[in-house]
Amino acid sequence: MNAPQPEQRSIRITRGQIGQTGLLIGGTSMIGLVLALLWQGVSTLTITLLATTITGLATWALALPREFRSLLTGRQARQSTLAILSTLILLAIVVATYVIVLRANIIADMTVDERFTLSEQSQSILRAAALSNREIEIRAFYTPQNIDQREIDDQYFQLYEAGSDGRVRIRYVDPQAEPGLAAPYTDALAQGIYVFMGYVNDDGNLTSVLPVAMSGRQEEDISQALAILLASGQFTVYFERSLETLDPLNTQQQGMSTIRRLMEQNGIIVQPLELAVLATSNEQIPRNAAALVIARPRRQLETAEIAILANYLQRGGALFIAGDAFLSDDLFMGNDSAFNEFMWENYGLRLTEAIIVDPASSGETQLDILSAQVFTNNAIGANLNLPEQPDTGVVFHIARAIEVDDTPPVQNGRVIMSSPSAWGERNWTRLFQQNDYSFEEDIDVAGPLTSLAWAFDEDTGAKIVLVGDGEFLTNGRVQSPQGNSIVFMDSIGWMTGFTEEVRFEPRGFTTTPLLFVGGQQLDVIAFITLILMPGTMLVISTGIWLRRMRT
Amino acid sequence: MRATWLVFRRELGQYFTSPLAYLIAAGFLLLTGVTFNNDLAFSIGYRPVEPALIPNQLATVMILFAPLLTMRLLAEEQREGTLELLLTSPITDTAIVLGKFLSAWTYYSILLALTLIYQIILVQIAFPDLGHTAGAYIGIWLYGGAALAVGILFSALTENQILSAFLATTTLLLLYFGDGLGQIVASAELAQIIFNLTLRGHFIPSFAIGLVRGEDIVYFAGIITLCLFIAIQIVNSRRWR
Repeated sequence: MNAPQPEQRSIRITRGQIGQTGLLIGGTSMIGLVLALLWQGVSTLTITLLATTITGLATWALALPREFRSLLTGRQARQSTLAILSTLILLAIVVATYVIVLRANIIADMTVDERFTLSEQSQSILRAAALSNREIEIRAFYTPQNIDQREIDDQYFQLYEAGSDGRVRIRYVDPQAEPGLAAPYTDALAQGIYVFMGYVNDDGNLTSVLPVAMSGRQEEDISQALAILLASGQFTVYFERSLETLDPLNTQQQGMSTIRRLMEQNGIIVQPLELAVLATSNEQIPRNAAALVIARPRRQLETAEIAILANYLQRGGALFIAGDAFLSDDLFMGNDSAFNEFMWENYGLRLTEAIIVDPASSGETQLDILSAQVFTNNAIGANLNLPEQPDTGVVFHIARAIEVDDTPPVQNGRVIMSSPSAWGERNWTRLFQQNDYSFEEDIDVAGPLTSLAWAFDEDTGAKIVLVGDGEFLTNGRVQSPQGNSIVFMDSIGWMTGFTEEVRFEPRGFTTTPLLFVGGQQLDVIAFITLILMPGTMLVISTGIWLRRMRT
Repeated sequence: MRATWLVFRRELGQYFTSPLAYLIAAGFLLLTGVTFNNDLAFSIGYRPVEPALIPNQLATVMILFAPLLTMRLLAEEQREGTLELLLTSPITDTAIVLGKFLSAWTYYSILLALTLIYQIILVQIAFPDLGHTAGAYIGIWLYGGAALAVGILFSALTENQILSAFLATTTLLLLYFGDGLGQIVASAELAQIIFNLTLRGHFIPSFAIGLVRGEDIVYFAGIITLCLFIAIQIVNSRRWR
């Protein structure tokens, strides 16, 4: 007997199934094709998807020709085609309207303080930019992850573009997509600075690039940077190099490269100058010198060198002198030195041979004196010792006291003073060799003592800032606390006129006062908004529900 | 126009005679009330009040709220067979869809107007930026219209209310948080395009900070027009399907 044969089950594939599968593949590929076209334009992927779409739809048309014909000729087909077409036309109209309105840049600033409208001051800066013969570019770096911030910042950038008659232009750079363009800005980007501004060269690169730290007050940040950029190159500050002074090129702790970088970031040109060479060659300080910085000199000035400085000041020059204390027979601005005499006679300022010791207001040691008292009614001290910003204080290390003539030949004044309990230590040998100091009434000078003072000759225009310490300018100390760099930069700003040139007064906003509300008021508000209003709705809802239940 | 008015009046009347609509309003006010009181408590003596607080919150809330308001509008008519009755009456498809949409938008506008009580309270105790607030309210009103139009579209698409609400919520979620997709692409330009396609992209960088931009108005008006037009086509398709 033969064993029963297992039933042979055949797999049948109908034309309908082939057609449906073709339609599914063709339809899916078509959607993929549109997305791929949008994503990357014509590519291998899009060509592959196009081929799949055609193959799928052709399979469907060949396998189910009646269904295909009805799509093209039936009533249903006509109606649906009409619906799709009219929808597409409407979509096109909407998109076209959107693009037109987008380009028209129609914006209404609803804020009471007009936060998104440029102030007259910004518009004035933009007018100056429009008159410039150089193009300015705002180069802003945004990754795909911070596109929403770009959208907000863009509101402002557009205002600057429009306000400068196109002289200011914006360029967005994705640092991930264009790493080459981002490379020069890597350090700043790592510090969270993502907007830069500079003049555009013929080759498209930027010069005089300034970082624009966006703080949330975009108008202030951009306008200030623009003002600095427009002023850049107008001011040259010379650094004296022949008196064994601090070196602005030195990047070590005892160098002054941080100060140089800060100045260059503000568009100020920094140049070296050697008084000794000028004296030898019988030359004068260049006429373009907006200021001369003498930082921590280690020897006295020669007569010829003093004459050069006198000539410079007579021409309305500006001098920043940061003296210091050394155990030396050739001490700069020593008690009887000719330059000290010159300063006293002409400007009512001189350095004393007394080192300030401040037990009440000092840092690590009593020789690290803090800015205990600051006269803030001048451009140099205005940004120091700000309330609740301890970093805006100044620290001097082994500073000499300054004597200020109270009946001076020109205007002068104090900026930074020690506490009243400070004294001026005259026994330098004991201080430097034994690190020992104590107040001796007969010898030492009683506080408070001045560590930074200024003078201004109204007739010549000469300006002087005299500091009893030079070490505060070194890389190791200039940014800790920040007050050290602030006092220097503000001094330079005052002396050169740079501050006036780039001054941007931030607008005061009227809608930022604090709330005045007590606990009882809060309870009433909570009752109204959390109980009364929602409760009323709940009661009405329950009433309607109950009435419906009854009927 | 008259037909639209008739449908609108009937639908709006249903909102005000439905316990669910009042329940939704209670929930809406409770939610915004908690946010308002919370912000108020944190603001005292610390920072100024946030002028766009409620509109900002509603931008997220509308993702769930709009489908709730619109899910029954056409889906229920289809399920109960009353849509066929309407279609045989001398009322056009446009009037049906438009009337229903306008009623939902009006109901939403009334709820939005109720939240203005917070602004009245603020005026009594602080100096809020009312211009900024007005801008944010205009934005959230248009935004709400767009979200409701998306809801209507999905209500026309299916007779199942739950499915309609689910599809509308999913779409609104995509439209709102779609910029998240932009953050994972490699190109900032593409991310920008994606951001500009989302509801967020036309609310957060403009209305929410007190700016009213022409393109944002066109965007929301465009979504409303497109969604309503497609909904009308779907309703119309019942005549020839």
